Amino acid sequence: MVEYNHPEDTLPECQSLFQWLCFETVRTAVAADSLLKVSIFRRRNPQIQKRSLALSLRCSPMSRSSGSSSRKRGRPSSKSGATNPLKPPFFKSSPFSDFGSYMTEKNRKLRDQFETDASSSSHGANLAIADGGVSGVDSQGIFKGVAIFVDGFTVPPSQELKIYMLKHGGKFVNYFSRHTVTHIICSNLPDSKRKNLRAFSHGLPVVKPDWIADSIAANTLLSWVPYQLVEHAVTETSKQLKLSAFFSEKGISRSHHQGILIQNETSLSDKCKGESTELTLSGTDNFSQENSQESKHIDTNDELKDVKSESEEDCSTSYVAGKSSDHLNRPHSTLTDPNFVENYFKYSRLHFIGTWRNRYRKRFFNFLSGTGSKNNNPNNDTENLRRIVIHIDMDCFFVSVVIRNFPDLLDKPVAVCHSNNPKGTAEISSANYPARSYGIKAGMFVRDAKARCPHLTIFPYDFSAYEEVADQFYSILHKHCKKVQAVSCDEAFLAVSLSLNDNPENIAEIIRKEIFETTRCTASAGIGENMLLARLATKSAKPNGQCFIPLDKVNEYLDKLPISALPGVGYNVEEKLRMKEVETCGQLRTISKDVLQKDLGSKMGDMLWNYCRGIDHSAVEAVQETKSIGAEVNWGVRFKDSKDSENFLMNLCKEVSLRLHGCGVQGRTITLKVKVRKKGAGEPVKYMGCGDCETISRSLTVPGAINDVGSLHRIAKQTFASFHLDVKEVRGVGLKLSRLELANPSRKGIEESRLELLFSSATRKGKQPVEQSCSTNHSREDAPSGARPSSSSAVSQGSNISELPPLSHIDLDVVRNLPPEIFLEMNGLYKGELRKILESQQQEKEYNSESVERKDCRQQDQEISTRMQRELEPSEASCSKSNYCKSDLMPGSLSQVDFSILENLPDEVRTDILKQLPPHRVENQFPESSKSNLSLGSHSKWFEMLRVQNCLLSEFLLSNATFLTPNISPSSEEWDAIVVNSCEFMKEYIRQKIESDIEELYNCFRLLKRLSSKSSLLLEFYDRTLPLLQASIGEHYGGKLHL
Amino acid sequence: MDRKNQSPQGQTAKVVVEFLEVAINCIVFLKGFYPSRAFERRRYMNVVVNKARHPQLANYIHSSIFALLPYIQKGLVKRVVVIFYGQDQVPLEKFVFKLTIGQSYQSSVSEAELEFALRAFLVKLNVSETIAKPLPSGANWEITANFRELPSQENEGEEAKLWVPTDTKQWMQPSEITPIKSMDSNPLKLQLYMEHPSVTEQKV
Repeated sequence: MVEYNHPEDTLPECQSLFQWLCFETVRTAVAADSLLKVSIFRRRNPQIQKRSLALSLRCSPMSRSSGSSSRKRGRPSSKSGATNPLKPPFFKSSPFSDFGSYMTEKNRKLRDQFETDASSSSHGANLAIADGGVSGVDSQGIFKGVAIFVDGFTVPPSQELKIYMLKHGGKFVNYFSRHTVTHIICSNLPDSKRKNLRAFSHGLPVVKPDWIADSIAANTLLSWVPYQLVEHAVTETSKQLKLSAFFSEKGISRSHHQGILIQNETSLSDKCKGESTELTLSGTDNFSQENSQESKHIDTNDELKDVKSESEEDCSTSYVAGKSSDHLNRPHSTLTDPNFVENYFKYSRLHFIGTWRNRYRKRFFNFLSGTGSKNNNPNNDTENLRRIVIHIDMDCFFVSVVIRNFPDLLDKPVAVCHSNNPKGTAEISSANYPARSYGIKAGMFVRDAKARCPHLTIFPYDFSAYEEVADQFYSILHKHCKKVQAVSCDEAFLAVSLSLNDNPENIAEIIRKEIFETTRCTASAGIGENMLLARLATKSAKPNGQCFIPLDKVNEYLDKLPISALPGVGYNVEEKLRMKEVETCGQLRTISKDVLQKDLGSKMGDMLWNYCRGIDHSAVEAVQETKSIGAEVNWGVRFKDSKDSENFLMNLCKEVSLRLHGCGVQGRTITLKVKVRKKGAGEPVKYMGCGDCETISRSLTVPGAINDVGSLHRIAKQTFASFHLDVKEVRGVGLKLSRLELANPSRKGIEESRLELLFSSATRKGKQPVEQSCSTNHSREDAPSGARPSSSSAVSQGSNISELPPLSHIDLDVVRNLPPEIFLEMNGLYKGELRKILESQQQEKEYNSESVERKDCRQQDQEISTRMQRELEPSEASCSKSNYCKSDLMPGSLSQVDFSILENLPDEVRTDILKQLPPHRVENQFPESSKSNLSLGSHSKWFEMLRVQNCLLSEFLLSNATFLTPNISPSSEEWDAIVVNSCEFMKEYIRQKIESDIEELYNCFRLLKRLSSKSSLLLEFYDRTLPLLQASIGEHYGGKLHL
Repeated sequence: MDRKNQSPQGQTAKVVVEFLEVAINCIVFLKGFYPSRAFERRRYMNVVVNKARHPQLANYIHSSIFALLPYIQKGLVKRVVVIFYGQDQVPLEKFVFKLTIGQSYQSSVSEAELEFALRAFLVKLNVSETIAKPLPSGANWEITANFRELPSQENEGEEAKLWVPTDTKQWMQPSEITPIKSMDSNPLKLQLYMEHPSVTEQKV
């Protein structure tokens, strides 16, 4: 590459220079057999106001020999020109015989120019660029003997450095020469030069420009050693710009840079002290973002000027290294700031607004709860009072809070923005009224805003001040009014009851005055009959005014109001209505409600119809329910690999979980939202912003509300994986929980402390055997996922898979057949209890199998019931009333998912399942007891059992299928009793279920039918009850069950 | 705001109507009455369902079901039946939604729970293909609703008073019922079952 930076005052020479350039490059290109690209561009240096022309010719691949590179640099080399055999003919027309003579001539001329400038500047006369007080008399000549060559982009720019040199006795060399230059000044070096520093510098010191600035400031020539550019680059490992660097506002950005770039630097500001400095951008992104980073870095460099020398060095060395390719390809993940999410929200204004409500609630809890009871009374009993809604809104809250301490800025344009770097890609979040008059709006880039209003002052956020003012604001509101609906930190509705002759404007006046006196910020108030009117009135009241829309003026006011002013009317609706040539509320009123509802949906139509008539039924409510809780990050999100994204998700889940805990709620629907870079979208204009994105979101509803990190993370991870995204393209992630429920400790107790209950209740005695037996039956349904092969479908709906089931819920048969290592693990979980139980079970089984033949029914019964008592009591705790009412709705178990589905399964799966089913049931802990219950228990007992247990008969049948085949001889007395009892029960059961749940009856009879092939008792039972069933079905549904 | 001001019945009715629309879409898809590309996969209550893509079909289902909303709200609708006919207007298969919305009872069921229960219907419905019988060519279908009583006359238009003869023929014999799903809660009781003509009927 051949490149020239040419001051424009030597323009006449340009032509010949260009000729030479072309020639030189073509020669190189021909030699290297490569492509050629020519570019000519003009540079404008804002400080100097002097244009320079730069010519560059680029050929690739670059020749790497140092000889040619130095020639290409433009070093006057008599040799290269003289020995050139391909001297082009056009060169003869130029006044120089060859390039060497041209360069000597040029250097001479430049030197002359420099010297005349220097002599004139020594009189301190005409140089426009004054650098403050440093141009003292003594400063003359601190750089004596120093000749600098500036390489590449520097801060301050090379022309400025040249002026410094002029003023302080140094020399500025335009073209590098080993013989004339003493110091090379540059801010950064490309990787190749850094690696091969000696070839580049020829042993000359390569120094950062700050050396010059600091020397001038110190008014003496400082040692350049601490300002060396490259020294530390080798040892520094983390060169990349840290993400957390950008969380802070301009005000602390300097210390931030130190904090990030120099680990363990003591001068860390408080804000970044806690932050880890680990977080860097991912390598690949750096690659694409290198430019933006670079400029960002440079932007902040001027702030760095006066930072301690040490830090500067580190700063720019890391900067240099940041460009190095080997760091770009670093394999390990980079988004590792453990506090990323936390930091993100720490410095986010939106987050401040979003979470403000919680703080408000906590602080004003007394007011809120105190008014709760009082609220209802005045609403009803006040005939002679009229209710007025006042809407109070602080005027450009975010700005006015910040500038309340700067009264001179009051009527100057001011905006608040998280950063004020000269690049101007930060977005303005709030602007005051003088600024708005320039057309500056929130969301505008600082750059654009400055273009409209160059003297715009920009302030960073001051969250503590916002909090303080918001608190003061609400204290005042609560003082004047019982019923305050907080809309946001600077906006609220008040419901005021006034007697008829009171002027509502007075109270608003008082409140506004007090707000101003306390907070030194102005507020505007809108007063109306309802919330809508109050809100609309505020709009016309602003800034710092108030507006009252009395009832008789409503129509007049609304007539001219554009529909877009109505809350809830967005772009779409406005567009739709514009098609109908409706632009004001007056015109909107001419449209009938039906038409509106048809066009815009019933809710929206209804709402608009009301709104354009000034009707708003919503009441001022002190406490509004939180609908969803979540967190979303869409700034600074760059992942390198899935590990990054997982870490990030984990942090996000933690944040959300914290928030959920903070509000004391749990959520059932988890929504994961991911912003993905749109295909073809470039890097966003806003630094590290999300740019043009597609948003994908997916939500999952779990049956049990959750708020713990573990489950959140599990679900979030799962959902995230289901998107099948390239994580590098992800630009934002949000996690939200909705369908919130109060995290009720009692409810939790049931879920979480079953195990505790198991152990604690094991000491309780004297429960009724029937209940116990049922509870066990029921609880077997909740066997852990591993316990039954067929339960996978049930498990997929269950939220509580992860919790440890009580011992009694465990199908011991399964446990017995588990692989030893899994058994050991389970045993460990149950603290060894499992093995004990299993052993005792084993003994009893052996004992039973011997004795069962000899015992008569009654004895057996007794024995079993005692055993049950021992074994099943614990599980009784789990059968609580709380889930009673739900079980009709929730298919709590597999059995309710039932056989018709089973039948639809593929054959092999079904046979597998069916094959697996019976053995599990054989080893029930109380087989005979249920049989005897079925046979001997009266039907009322059965009902009690079903009711207490709240299980369905079909479930019971399913789980006890094999025990319902007793070995009682047919036609015996006992047999008859059983059948009669059972039929009695079934009759009752049919009667109960016929209206509401034929599905259950259908399931029961399908099961019975299936089982009856094995048992004559059941067959008889089935035959006797079926006609009754069909008759009832016929009576209620006009048909027969198709069994 | 809107939701809060409603009675539990109104709220439930809205959910039910929405559910019915989805379920009927599913049934029509399930029966293979239209080519499957006339449907698109959607997600409702977190279940994959098929929604008619053809505007006319979607509109028929939507409008006929939403026309029932006020009656469902008042608890007048007893059954919503999707009937599939053969060529001779004799029903071959009916999908019956029998619904009861308790009028007196305050809702004890949260919307989420209701949705959860209704979801079970959709899940079950999606796998009920085997119960359904294949349709002959030239079949037809319609949505009908059975009322418990006549809608009160005062606030309905003339239309409500009119009696329009229907082409629908009735089965002579009691039908065969195959339940698909039931739920029992307050205020909503809902059962979904299929009816087929009995064997004797088919011979006749």
